[in-house]
Amino acid sequence: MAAGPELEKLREMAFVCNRCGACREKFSADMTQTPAFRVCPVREHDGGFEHQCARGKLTIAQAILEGELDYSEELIESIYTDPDCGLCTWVCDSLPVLDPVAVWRAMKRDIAASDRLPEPLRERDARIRSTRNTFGSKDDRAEWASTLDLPREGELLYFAGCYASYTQTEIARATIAILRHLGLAPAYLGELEWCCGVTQFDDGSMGLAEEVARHNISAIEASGATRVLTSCAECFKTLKLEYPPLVGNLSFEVVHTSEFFADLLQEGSLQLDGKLPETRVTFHDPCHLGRHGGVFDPPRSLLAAIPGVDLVEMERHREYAWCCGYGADLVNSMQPDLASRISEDRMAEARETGAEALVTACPRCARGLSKAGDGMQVYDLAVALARSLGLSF
Amino acid sequence: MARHDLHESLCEIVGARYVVDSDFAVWAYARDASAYPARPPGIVVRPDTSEEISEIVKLANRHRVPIIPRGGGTQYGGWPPGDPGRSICIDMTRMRRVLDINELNSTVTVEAGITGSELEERLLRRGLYAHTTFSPPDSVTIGGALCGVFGGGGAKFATLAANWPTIVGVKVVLPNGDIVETGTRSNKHSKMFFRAAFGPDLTGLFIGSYGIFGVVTEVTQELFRNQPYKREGAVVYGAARLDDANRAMIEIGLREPKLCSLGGIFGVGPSVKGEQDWQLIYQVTAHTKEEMDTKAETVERIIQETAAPDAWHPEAATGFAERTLHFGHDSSNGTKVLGMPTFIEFLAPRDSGLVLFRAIRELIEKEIEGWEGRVSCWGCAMWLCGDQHYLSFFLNHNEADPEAREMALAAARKVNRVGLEMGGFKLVLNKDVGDVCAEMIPDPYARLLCTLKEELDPNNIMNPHMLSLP
Repeated sequence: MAAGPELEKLREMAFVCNRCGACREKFSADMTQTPAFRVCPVREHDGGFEHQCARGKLTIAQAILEGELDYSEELIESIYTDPDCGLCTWVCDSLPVLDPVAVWRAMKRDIAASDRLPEPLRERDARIRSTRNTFGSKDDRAEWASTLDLPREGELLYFAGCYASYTQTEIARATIAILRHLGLAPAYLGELEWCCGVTQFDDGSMGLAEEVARHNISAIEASGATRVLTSCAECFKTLKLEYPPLVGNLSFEVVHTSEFFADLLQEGSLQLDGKLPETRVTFHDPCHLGRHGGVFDPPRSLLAAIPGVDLVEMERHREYAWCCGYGADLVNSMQPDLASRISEDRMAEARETGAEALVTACPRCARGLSKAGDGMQVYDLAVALARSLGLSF
Repeated sequence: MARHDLHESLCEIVGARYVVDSDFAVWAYARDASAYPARPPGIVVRPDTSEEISEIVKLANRHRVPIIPRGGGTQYGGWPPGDPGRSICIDMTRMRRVLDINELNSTVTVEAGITGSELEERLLRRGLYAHTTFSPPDSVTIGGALCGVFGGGGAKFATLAANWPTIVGVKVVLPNGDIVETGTRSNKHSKMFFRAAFGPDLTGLFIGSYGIFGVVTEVTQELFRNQPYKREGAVVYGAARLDDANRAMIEIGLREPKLCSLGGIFGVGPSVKGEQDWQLIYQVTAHTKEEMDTKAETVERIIQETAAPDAWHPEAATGFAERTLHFGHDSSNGTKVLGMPTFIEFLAPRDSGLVLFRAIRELIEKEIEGWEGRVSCWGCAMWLCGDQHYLSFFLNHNEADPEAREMALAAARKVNRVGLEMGGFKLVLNKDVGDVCAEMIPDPYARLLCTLKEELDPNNIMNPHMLSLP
C-alpha cells in the first residue's frame, strides 16, 4: 500500500521536519522553565527507537511518500501505538508549518480507508456501531441519571461521555450535584447521547466519526442547548475541536466543567468552603484538555480555592505534562502493558511531589492512573469539588 | 518478514526489546539531519553497557558485519553507508547515565549517550557547567559531539572553542571488543583526572574519529563553575563596514583572558536583496554582577577604540542577540519555515577568516542564482571560536522538491570544495561532506590513517568508508 490521499495532502508538511530531534528530548532554553525531559511516552517506555518518536515517524512518512516504504502490518501497528498526547507537536514549536500529529493522523486515515485498521480498533469501531458506547455495553447509558430526573431540553446541557456513563458514574453524578448546588438545571440527552467518537477521529475511521458527530450535534441542537458542558477531556476536545472541521461550525458552545466552575468561582457564584480529606494535592493535566484544548489554569484555580489544599506541581506539568498512557485508548488497545508503564511513570512522578492525592479532569486519565495508583488517591476534579462541598452524589 | 542474520544473537546480548530490524524501523535510522541520501542499516540495537557493546563488536567481527555507532542523529554531513541493508547501527541513547560528578577534581564522567542538554541541566542544578555542544543540544549526545563534530562546543564557544580540549578521557570499545580507558586510567589504580598520561594522547585518537577506531561509551569532561550572570550586547555596522566589524571582533577575541562566552558577526544571506547592516553581537558571562559589568564595559571600549560602530545596542539587534545567544539552546526550533537546511561551515584562522567568509558568500550567491524561491540562503555568520573564526551559512530548500534538494547539495559540495581549497577547515563531516574533505588529504596522511585503521580494525567493521578509508 503506497501513500494514500490524506498523507499526500500533507506532503509538504511531512517534509518540513529538519530532524533536529527536539521531539525526542527537550529541555528548557534557559534551564529554568519546566523541562519536558524525554518527550514521547511510547519511545521512553518501549524500545526507545527512532520510529517511536516524531522525527522517525516523519522520516517514515517521507519514505512512504517517496515510494521507499509500504505500510506493512508491523508498521501499521506501530503507527497506532500512539497516545495522541501531542507533546511532540508542542516541543516542535513549528505550527502551522509542521504538526507531527497531523501527519500520522493522515496516515491513519489512509490506513483505515484501505480497511487495514488493526483488529483491536476494528473491534472497537464495531462496538460503537452496535452499542454507541466504547465499551460495547448493552446496559442503559443513562442508568446513572435514572434517579436524577434530568430534563432532555435546556440551554445548559451536560454531555457525560462513555466513561462517566458506565465505569465512573460518580463523575457524572458529582457534576450534576455541583450544578444543582449552584441552582442550575442542566439538561441531559440520555440514551440519545452517543460516544463522542474520540477514538474514531484518532484512528482514522472517518465515516464512523462523522456518523457519531452528526448524530450528537443533531441531538444537542434538538435539545435547545446553547452551551454543552462536559467533564471529560476527550469529549471536550472531540466536540470542540474535531467536530467543526468535519461538519462545520457548531450552533452551541462546548465548555469543560473546569472552565465553567472556575468562571463561577471567579464571579463569586461558587464558594468552596469545605475541605478534602487530603491536604497536599497534585494535578495531572489531561493531554486533550491541556495541550490540545489550551485549558490549564481553571482546574488549578479551583483546587487552589479549596480551603486547606496545598496544590503542588509535578515536574512535568501544564504544556509539558506527561501523558497518562490512555489517550484515545490507542496505546491501551495495541499494547496494554505499555499503557500501564506510561501511567506508572506518571504516578511515580506524582508521588515524588509528596502529594496524598492526584486530581485530574478526565475520566479516562483518572481510570488509567488509578490502576497505577499504588495506594495514592486519584480523583476526578468534579468528584473532588463535590466532596469538598459536602454534596451527596 | 525475513529477519536480519544476527537478529537472534543480538537479542541474546541486549534483549529483544532493544533490537529492531523491520524495514520501517531501520529506515528511521537511514539519515542524519541533512538532506544527503538515505542509507538504512540492516538492524538497530540499543545496548545498555560497554560490555554489551563489546559482545556486539565481537559478534560483528565474527560475521564481518559493519557497525555504525549513532548518537543523536543530528550530524549535517550525510549518514554513513556501512553496508546498506546489512550494517548494525548501535543507537547509543540508552546509555545516558551521569556516572560521577567530582567537583574537587573538576571532572564529570557520563555515558556517551546522554545529551548535552540533560548533562548541562543536571550540572546547572549544582551550579556547574561542562562545555558540551551548542545546538541542538537536546539531541546531540556527548559521545556524538566528541566523535562526530571534532569535539562539539557549548555555550562558551567564543572562550573555549570546540570542546575537545576539555575532554579528559574516554572509555572505548575497540574493534576487537577490548574495552580500554585513556588518560590517567592507563594506570589501573588511578581515577580519570588527567588526559596526557602514559605515552601519546590516545584520547585524541577518538575525538572526531566517527567511530572508525571504536565505540566511545564513556566520556570524562572538565567541569567548570557556572557563571550565572549573563548579558548580551549588539552593535551595528553599515553594509560597507564588514572589515571594521571584523577588526573589532578580532580585537575582542585577542584579549586574554577571553571576554565573551559567545559572539559573532551576523548578516543576511544573498537571498535577501539590497544592502543590509552587519551586527556584531556578543554575550559576557560572569560570577558576579560587577565582573559582568566590567567585562561588558571592556568589550564596549575595545569596539569603540577599534572601529566605532554606526549604532550601539539598537533594540532590534539587542533582541536578536538575546534570542540567538541567551537562548542559544533553542536555535533549532522555529526555523522550519525556512526549509530543510544544508549546513555549510568552515573553521578559519583569524588572518583569513574574512577573506574566506566573503568568498563563500559570493560563491553561494552565484550558485543559487536562478533558484529563487527554491534554494535560499537567508543568513550568514562569522562566530568567535576561541582563536579562530567559525563561518556558518545555511542553504534552505523545500525537502519535498527533489530538484531543489539536489541543487542545494550540489551547491554545498562545490562551496565546500572551494572553501577547503582556500584553507578553511570543516568541523562537521560525516559521509558526504567528509568525502569532499578526503579529496584534500595528502597521501602520507591518508596512509597513516589507513595503517592505524587496518591495525586496529583488520576486518574493517567499524564505520567503514569514512574519512577517505575503504
